Amino acid sequence: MTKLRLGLTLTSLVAVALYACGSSSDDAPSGGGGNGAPVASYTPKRCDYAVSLPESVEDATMDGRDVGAEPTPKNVHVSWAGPPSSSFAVNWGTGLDTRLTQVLYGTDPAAVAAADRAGAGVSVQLGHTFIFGSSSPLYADQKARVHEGHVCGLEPGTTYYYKVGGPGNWSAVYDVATAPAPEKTTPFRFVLSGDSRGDPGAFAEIQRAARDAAADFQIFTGDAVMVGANQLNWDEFFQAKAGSFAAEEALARIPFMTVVGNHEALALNYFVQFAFPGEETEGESPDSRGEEWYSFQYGNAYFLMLNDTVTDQNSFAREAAWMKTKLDGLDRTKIDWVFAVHHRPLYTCSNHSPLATQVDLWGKAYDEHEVDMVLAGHNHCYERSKPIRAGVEAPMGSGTIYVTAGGAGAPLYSTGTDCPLEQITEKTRGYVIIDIDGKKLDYRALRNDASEIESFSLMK
Amino acid sequence: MRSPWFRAGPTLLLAILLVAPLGRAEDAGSARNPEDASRLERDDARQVELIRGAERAEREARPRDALALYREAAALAPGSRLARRARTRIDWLEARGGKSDGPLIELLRMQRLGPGELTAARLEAFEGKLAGFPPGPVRRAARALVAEAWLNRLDRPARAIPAFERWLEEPGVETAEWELATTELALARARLGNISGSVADLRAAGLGKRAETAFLELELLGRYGRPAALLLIVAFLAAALGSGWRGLGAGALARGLSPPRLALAGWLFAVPLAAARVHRPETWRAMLFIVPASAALLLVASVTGMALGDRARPSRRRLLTALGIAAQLAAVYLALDHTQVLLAILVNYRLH
Repeated sequence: MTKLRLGLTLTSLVAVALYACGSSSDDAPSGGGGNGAPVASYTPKRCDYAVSLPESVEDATMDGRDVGAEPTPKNVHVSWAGPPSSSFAVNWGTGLDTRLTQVLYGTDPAAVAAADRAGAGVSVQLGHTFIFGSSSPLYADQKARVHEGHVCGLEPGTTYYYKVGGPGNWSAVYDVATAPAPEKTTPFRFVLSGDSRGDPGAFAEIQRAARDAAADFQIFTGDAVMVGANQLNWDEFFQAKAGSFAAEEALARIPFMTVVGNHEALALNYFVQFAFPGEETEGESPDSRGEEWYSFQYGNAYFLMLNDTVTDQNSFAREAAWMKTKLDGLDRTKIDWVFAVHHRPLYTCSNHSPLATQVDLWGKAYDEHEVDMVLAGHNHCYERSKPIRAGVEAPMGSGTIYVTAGGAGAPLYSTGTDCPLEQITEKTRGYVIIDIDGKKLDYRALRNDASEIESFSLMK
Repeated sequence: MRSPWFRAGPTLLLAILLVAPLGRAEDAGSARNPEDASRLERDDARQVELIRGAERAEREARPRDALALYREAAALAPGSRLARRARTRIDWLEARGGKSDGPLIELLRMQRLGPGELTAARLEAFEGKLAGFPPGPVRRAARALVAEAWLNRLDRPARAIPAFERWLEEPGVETAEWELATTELALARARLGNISGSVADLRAAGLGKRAETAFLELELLGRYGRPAALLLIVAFLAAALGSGWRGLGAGALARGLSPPRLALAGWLFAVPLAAARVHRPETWRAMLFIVPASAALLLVASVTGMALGDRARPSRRRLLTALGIAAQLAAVYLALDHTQVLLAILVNYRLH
């Protein structure tokens, strides 16, 4: 009888252990583990990609129980590190002692708002957190804690609601929508802007416009802040306000996909506060974890996100080769639109002249692969070129259109008039809304007061 | 005979194992069931058509039609991405709706004017109607459009000033609007020549940290600073060459550019150049201006010094040295001003 009772007890213990595994092992990512375990790299639950952390950060752990003195999430913003149709990534900051790093999400906003843990209709994803310092000795006294969560296995074309933090200390509830299934031609919209450095208020105005336009995502052409290594600049950027509107209202809802600008200067602060697809290639900064340049697909469009802030020939050649590999692998019968995004313009009529090496190496790649649009900033104005092929004007629809959208807040630059390849230039604050509906592209460039600079359509 | 406990064990285990996946099921709460998914697919085409129609209606300045179509689209598959878009636009249109759609329609038409379609007459006519618009976001947006258009699109700062003032007088104007209108008003006044007054206005309004204020301050400084800097450089070159000209004989140049002096000069320039290169392209570009300008000044100073030899009075040498340092600082100022590094430094310094 004693043996039987012992057997029963053991059986029950095994069963309870199995139950516990059923609820917790699924939350735990492979290679990481929750409860504040140290982490260097891991694969988030349900994700088909790995996340690796820069070596230069401190106290890198998975979600932990430490609440700390300032546990309220701030600087919440979303992006994609995996497929936009089934995932999203979210970053946020807290005080230095807080290790709570969970994302609660689901399709029912009321359930997500009410939940303090996973439950009916609400799932949890554990993320990682660490403390980072500035990569510049000028700001050596600055330390900040960042948290990052990756939510995967989502349904395409669906609105999800989420909040970040941990039990008792959650952010507001935000909504984020997944992309249509890959290569599906359902209409989508993105907002393009760049160069917000120095004027968070103007940037917040553009974020309000992105929200009001119901953009599915944002493309940003770099120079978000004046000094990339200064965390105070980043806090201003993420906490930018325009009157009663906080930029976080858009940044936490609309995935923000950016390239590095010369003012970010490849600072650690830039790389650790955004999550993008990581694919380590030769020449990338070790801090970038493969995110210095990257690509992603949204519906039937493909985006090359490039770094042109390292201006030697080898760097341009290396990225041109990477670009070629990516574009060679595209099935252009399914991908209707290809965009290249980087900071420096290849064609411009404003302050900063193009770099000859970049024009030569990247321009050729754009021509060869029939890239539809090249989206840049750096010059603080709006410019749109005529279609260009091999350095000369091409008929509409058969060349690459080069856009400079650098009017998100930095002091404006004048634009010249003696540039025959430019279709239109204007010294103005503004942004661009691009709608893609299958083989049709609608383009609208707008000033910050919502008046239209120009609009046109392209058909494939 | 087996005990009831023994018989209950497997049953209990089975029950617990059946319950165990619920832990996982909690986590799968976000997944759609197949029926929902197929309904989403069925609704998709209709929803897309409704969204297309609504956006066409917005482009054609038919807000009421757009609202109706968005409402229908949002009701189809409310959890979908496009329903979210529809809800956002509904909120936007409803916040700007009123007893009449007239003001919003007028505003949408003005906003959509293409390049070259905006004329002073058209803008004036629109501005004249604004008093009849009900106060609210539509009238404020219209005031913003009018003021910005006078200043930046039609380059009529005198006409823009009262437009900005009327925008500022609007009831319910938000902080961000107030800051923008105040700043732009100051820029309009500066464009008419009153830079110092504009700077004072911005400072008085608590907008001294804005980049525009720094820009105007540097413009004010540049009004006198640029000619003064150029004058200093010319004065130094004239004084140095004038003083040393008579002493310039064979070998003066070679003596002035002796290897130790060249090595020292090279080191002095190499360090800031390297620092600028590492820091940012803007500073690198500034240094590319500063180095040749400074090198030219140093060359003149060196050659002149050698040419003067011991013949020059100490007071004259001191004067030339002081003038040389001032000329070099003037060259640095011009380079930093030209490359906007000065503006960046000032703005960043002010912000923090």
